[in-house]
Amino acid sequence: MKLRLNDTIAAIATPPGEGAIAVIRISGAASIAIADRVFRGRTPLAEAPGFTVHYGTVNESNGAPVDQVLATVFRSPHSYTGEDQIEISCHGGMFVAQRVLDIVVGAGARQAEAGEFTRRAFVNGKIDLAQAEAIADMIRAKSEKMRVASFEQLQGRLGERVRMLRKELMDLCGLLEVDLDFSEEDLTVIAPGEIERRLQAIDRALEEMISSFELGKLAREGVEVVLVGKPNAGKSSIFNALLKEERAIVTPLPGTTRDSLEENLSIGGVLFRVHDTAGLRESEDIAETEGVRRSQAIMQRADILLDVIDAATPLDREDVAGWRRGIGPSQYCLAVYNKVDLIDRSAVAKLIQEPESVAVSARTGEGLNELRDCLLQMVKGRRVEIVSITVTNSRHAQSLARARERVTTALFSLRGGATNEFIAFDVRDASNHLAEITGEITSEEILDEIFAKFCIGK
Amino acid sequence: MAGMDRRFDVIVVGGGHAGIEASLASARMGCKTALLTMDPNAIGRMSCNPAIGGTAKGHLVREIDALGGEMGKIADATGIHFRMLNKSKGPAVWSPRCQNDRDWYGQEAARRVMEQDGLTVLRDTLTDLLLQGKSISGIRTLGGETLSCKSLILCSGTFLNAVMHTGESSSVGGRFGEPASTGLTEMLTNLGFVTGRLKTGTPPRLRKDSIDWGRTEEQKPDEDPQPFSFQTRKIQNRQISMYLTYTNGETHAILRTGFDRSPMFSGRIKGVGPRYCPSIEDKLNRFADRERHQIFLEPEGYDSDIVYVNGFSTSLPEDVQRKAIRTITGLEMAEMLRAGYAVEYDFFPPHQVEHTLETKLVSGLFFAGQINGTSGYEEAAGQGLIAGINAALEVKRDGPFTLQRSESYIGVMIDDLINKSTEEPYRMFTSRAEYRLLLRQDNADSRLMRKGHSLGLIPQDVLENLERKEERVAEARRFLENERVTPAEAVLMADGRWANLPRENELLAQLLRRPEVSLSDILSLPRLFSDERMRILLTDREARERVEIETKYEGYLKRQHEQIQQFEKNEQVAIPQGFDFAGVRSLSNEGKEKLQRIKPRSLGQASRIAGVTPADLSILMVLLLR
Repeated sequence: MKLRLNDTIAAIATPPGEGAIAVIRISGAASIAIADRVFRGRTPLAEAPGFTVHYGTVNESNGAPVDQVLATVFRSPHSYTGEDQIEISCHGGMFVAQRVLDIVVGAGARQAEAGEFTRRAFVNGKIDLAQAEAIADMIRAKSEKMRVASFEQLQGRLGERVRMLRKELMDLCGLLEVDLDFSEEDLTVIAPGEIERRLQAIDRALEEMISSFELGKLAREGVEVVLVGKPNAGKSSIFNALLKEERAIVTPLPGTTRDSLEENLSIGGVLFRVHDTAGLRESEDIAETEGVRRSQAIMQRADILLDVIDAATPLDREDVAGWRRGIGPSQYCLAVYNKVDLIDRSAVAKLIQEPESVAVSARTGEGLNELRDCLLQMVKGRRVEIVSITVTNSRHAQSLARARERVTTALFSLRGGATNEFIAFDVRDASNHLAEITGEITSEEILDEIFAKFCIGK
Repeated sequence: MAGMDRRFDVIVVGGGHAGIEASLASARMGCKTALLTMDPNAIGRMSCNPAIGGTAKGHLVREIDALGGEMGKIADATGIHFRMLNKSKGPAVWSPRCQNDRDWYGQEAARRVMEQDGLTVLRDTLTDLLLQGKSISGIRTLGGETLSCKSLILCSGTFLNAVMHTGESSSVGGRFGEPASTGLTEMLTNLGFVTGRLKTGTPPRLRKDSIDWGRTEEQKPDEDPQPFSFQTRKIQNRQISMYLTYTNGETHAILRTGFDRSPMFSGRIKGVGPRYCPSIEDKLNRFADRERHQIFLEPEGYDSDIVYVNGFSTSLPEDVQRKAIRTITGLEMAEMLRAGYAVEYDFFPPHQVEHTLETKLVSGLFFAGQINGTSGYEEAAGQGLIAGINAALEVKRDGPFTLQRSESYIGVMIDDLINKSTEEPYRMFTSRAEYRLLLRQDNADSRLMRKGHSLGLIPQDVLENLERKEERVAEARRFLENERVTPAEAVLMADGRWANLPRENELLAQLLRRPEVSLSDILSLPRLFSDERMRILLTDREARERVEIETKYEGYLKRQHEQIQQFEKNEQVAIPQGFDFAGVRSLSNEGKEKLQRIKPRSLGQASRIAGVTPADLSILMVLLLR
């Protein structure tokens, strides 16, 4: 993407579709002048101070008013991009917004490219690279926790922590270098074991951040929940009850659900992605076999498996465990006894005494709240303290992992008796990988990767 | 050109370590060259420490030698105490160093200069620069001569407006007993150059017979001294010992009594001194909790009566120096022949030169050595060589010749000088070289000798020797990568020295990568050393070392090569000459100012300029890449 910094750009900043208002954003040295060419208010915007809102109309070049609007003035450097900026709020609907944008472009602005506003904010030093990425994540946040994580990153907490670790690595490098370059001058100052101790501390800190990404992935991509169980155990009914929507086709015939369905569900601010699967049953029906294969793939990557059991069929209760042998070590499984409205209370009480089980009735809604709580508890049980998540971006996680690899190598070499120039080599390398996160080391690839994520108008 | 008394292609001003390399290279490349010096007897004078090399500096000397420079050969011819430093560390930081017979070194250097065809030594002083437009055309001298030249190299050392300080007394002069040169700084500032002030110091000298040597620690030279020059077969000189002693609490107390009269602390010296080659008063200040500092007593030659007190550089008053010296073990009766002093001098912040060391303001004018803010003979010599080569190339309308950070310490040094602002005298360190594992003293020849040869500074037979060595190394490495030994053979090789023995047949290269295994262990097995490819290693020390290093550290070296590829990507993104940085509105103010001042030629260079932010760099990246 070519960055032309000297012109003024404009774009619709609100999503397409019907809405009460739409916002057209203009940024660049000429933004206020361009707005004045199309905007008629009580006073020209050129005379307005920053952070003021002005009522007026946007007019065609022949003077005909198009819409009544509010224009907000931002003066450099106090704006998102750091440049002079105008935001025109017009009535919603794509036609009006598009017309206003066309007029603004006709008055001298250029249609902005995807991510260009943020790119300018970065270039003008308003945000660092990590913050730019966080904005991209925040726009796409699907849950409250994820938004909080992005927001904190935006505040530079990630950058701060990475910079701190990087400084620690550089300090260490300094110590190693003194030993190498001043060995003849009797100025060496490293206590035995100190390098190893400090490397270990860095290693632990990196490990923590990397694992926060694994957990952060849950926040960003949601917790994968899959409903499994015998045909007609009531998976689709529970799926629908959880979503309070009749999404899946529910019939009393076994094997009705051919495709797996996916819906997003927010419980306690955590995003769950719930999959309903075709029943686990060998079948001659080709379509259904395909469904079974697909549902097995989902089961493999799921975080939580909800094993739906027909509580009203005693035989089913007994052969629960059979398929569970295939569950991965990091997967959680919850036994969900359905149709408890059809059995007596004492049997229900007995069922829920088992660990990790819950009794529900999709039909009456009984036990659904307990099921929701259980789901949330399982996430919390993994000690997902989502609010403290610092790493949510896969590029960051990659750089952190590479940095840690170098630190681990350094520790390994150190214990193997390698001399300091080899240790310093890995320590320096680790520090460079951290610098990729904060943008202190940039490459074209990194820039492209970051700004490609933005939509037009951001 | 009318009115010119004599014509030269290249004139070099100053006969120090930079001037020697510059004038020899220029003359050897076929240019009619003059070396202008105030005193021909001072050519190649070791004005400070009578030693060549040391950590990172030894690397520079090896590189100078590989390119066809003279310093390594002179050091080999006059060295009296050779030691490979850092032998306990890895091969990347092994650094050759030697003590020299001070007078002999100077004589040997002068002889080589005097005997060089095409090089005329002139005893005179520069008084005026002659320009045609923005190009140098000649000089005028104190002797009244007008000399024409196409290139002029200034290697004026510490002599520009030099002032020497000892305690409260100061005198004008560039070195003990030598005058300063005045007027040149002003000429250059009139042309638009900016100037700064630096200082450096030297320790006192003692009379050899007045030292009680029995009370000091003897430091023996290496038994098998390794020459600096790839062209020196063997060090023939008799090797002598150096001696070690320490300061103590009493020394420090006495030194402190002179601080109020020290020119550094009283503010009379404005120049900034080297942090890394600190004076003893600096060391006391900075390492206040240390009970003692190391002092090397270095005889200045076989027959010299003078001993250099390495580690005791000072500009405190003479009486304080004398008293403090006598508190040191072995020096209780020491007689001080000359007090230590500091010298303050003008330099020209080196952002004003190109990577060829030609100034950006005046074409044909080159700066080399301390005038660029460096400290040390080796740093000066490296620059002298590069300036001499480029001055000669320019006369021939050829060039430029520059070295990358990824191929040499010389390249690192010049790139640092240009891009990092020098606030103190620049000294070479191994830590400045980010590709240190590849820029070793042992492979300086493979890195640079072909370049020296194509410049005409390395003879054909020397290059052929290198090629033969490289072939041996390659063959031996292939052998090690393909040949296996049995566990029984490994037992023989290990001879009880290894902690672990292989249980199955193992590849020799794999075996050699174990920390405790050395190539000589492997060569001890008769079946192996009877192979021609291995036997040759027994007699060729350089090839043997190279094989061992390149096999043992192959993984690290590979990674470093990958880093270089990454580095070169940005080096290859050229910034067009005359690019208007000030016109890029969004660059930071400091970045803009630094970029405009240094005018980097590539994105890579821009990234190394102090004050250019990552955001600035991203902007440039986007502007330049599409």
